[in-house]
Amino acid sequence: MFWQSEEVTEILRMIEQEHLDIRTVTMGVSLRGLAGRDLGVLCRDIREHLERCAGQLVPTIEAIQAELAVPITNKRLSVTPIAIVAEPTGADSYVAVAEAMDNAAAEVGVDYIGGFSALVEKRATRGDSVLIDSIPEALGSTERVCSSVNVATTRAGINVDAILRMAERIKQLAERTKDQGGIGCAKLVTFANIPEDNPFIAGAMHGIGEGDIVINVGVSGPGVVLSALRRLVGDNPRCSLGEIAEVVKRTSFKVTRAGEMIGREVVRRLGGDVSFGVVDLSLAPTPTVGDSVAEILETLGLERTGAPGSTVALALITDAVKKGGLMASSSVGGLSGAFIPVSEDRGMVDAARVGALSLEKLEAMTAVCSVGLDMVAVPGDTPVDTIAAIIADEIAIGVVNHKTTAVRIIPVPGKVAGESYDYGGLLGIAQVQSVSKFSSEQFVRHGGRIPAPLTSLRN
Amino acid sequence: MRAVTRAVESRLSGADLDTVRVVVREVVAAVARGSAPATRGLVNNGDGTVTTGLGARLPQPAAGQSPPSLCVGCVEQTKRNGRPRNRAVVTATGPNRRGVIAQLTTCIAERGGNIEDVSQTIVSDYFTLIFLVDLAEVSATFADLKRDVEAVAERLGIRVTLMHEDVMRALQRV
Repeated sequence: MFWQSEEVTEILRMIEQEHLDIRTVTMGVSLRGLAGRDLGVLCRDIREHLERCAGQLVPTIEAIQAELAVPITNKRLSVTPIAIVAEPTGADSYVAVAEAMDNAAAEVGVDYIGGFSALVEKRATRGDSVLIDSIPEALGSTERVCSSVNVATTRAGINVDAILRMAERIKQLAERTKDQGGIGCAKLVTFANIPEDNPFIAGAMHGIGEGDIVINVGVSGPGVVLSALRRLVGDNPRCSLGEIAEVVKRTSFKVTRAGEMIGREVVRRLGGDVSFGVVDLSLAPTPTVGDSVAEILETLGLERTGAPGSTVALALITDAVKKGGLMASSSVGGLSGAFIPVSEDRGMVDAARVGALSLEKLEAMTAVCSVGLDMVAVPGDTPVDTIAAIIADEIAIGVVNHKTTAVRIIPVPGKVAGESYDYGGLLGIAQVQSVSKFSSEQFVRHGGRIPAPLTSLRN
Repeated sequence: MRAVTRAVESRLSGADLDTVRVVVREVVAAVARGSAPATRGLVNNGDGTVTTGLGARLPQPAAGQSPPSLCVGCVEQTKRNGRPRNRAVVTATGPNRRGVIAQLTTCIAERGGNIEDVSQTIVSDYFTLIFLVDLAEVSATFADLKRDVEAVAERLGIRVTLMHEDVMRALQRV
């Protein structure tokens, strides 16, 4: 096999100019075998087990990155939901477990570890409640630990009590990390239909149906898709939406192939009990110019993201990404679609700043993409009930439509609508968005569980 | 191809790219005509065709015609002797100047790399070179080879990228 020079230069262009990267290689580690009655022993075992399983993860990934020339931006860990592992201890707080996870993550050189999690879509056990109540201190006092709580599924319905509890913890966490703009909330996600093999932080966890050690890969690629569409539209401004979908599909195919190849190579080199999990096909933007889902939508002819037409344009892109990716990988999972995290996507930030992208339009767009209200900043004085209602609205979209939705919302302490806060790095600049002033208190305070929708009865 | 590389190294140290290209084509044509010994890179099949080391079967050029290009297209040959090929795609770009190919190929050859194919284009005195390098006999790690080649490139004032062929195979072939 030899390569046409156009083929080689295309790959180099994708990597060097269009930000093609593997966004994350995430090792999922089962901690189920460590559950026991002594909290101190559990913490020690977690630390030792993670260091044993993941000790070679970062050096292996860096060696592969050097050989393949494809940047692998993040190396991360996910673990079995801690509420399950720690429940037998009977402890009143799991903060010590979070600290053990944090230390292990630092020791093996990963930037984040997910799995400080609970699954409470129907009801919470005592362990689930302890975990949720531990979240503000656990995330506020650690650097690398991320938390996710699943409050609803299509099969179980919506646990509104859990949503209220999460809204309270979000406010507490924001307050605890107010010196950094409430950054702790960037590490906390409230889910409906949480995937058990999601490699992306902050929602990553190692599901209870997974094996001992699994490698999941999250690809990126908004910049590559954007460049391909700019070439298409530049060459033929009157191209049809069908042609646009085709270009996205072809590009997604190549991006996903890179993820599949790297994931399998990591597994091969690590050997032992490590198995390959999934490639998550999501278009994951960064604050870098040209690596933005919003810019993709605007390239298609929308003056600003959030303008009428944004939802259907996002639906087109998301569907094409999935179709291209499915052809490229034998194992697709996770969230797979398109992320629209507001602060992490420069185009989204700009759209929010000029008033083109409201919270309500964003919510509509999440009905057709893969995540939800992600990295959304709201005024610091937003009431708990309003945050709970925003979460509940988003969760309902996921439950009724058999899809994952999630909320990562930051009530930025001391900030009001129109202001911004720069978190730096991949978290980007949060533009504080206005929230309805009309109260939802009476509704959400009914509490209880909203029964599963009719569409859940498929048996 | 190793013979071609040696010819380039021995005859063209310090030559500019255009001269290198002419000589490489002469060597290829000589092999194709049967006036040079069969090499690992090119074999005269004796039936009016020549097979490259990469498995491509090309028509033998008649006298006076241009010899086949080293860039032989996309012929799948991912395994040799049942083992996966271990090859790198090296891309160099920069302003044309004397000794670029010679110094890069010398660096690669000294570390055990076998250049199996070369492709080059020159536009407005700005060149793009692509080498396909067999790493089977490279004793150094990929990272060390990459570091050494990049050091040569830096001295030459050009840009070079080493990428394992697996990337190309994954993204450009189904």
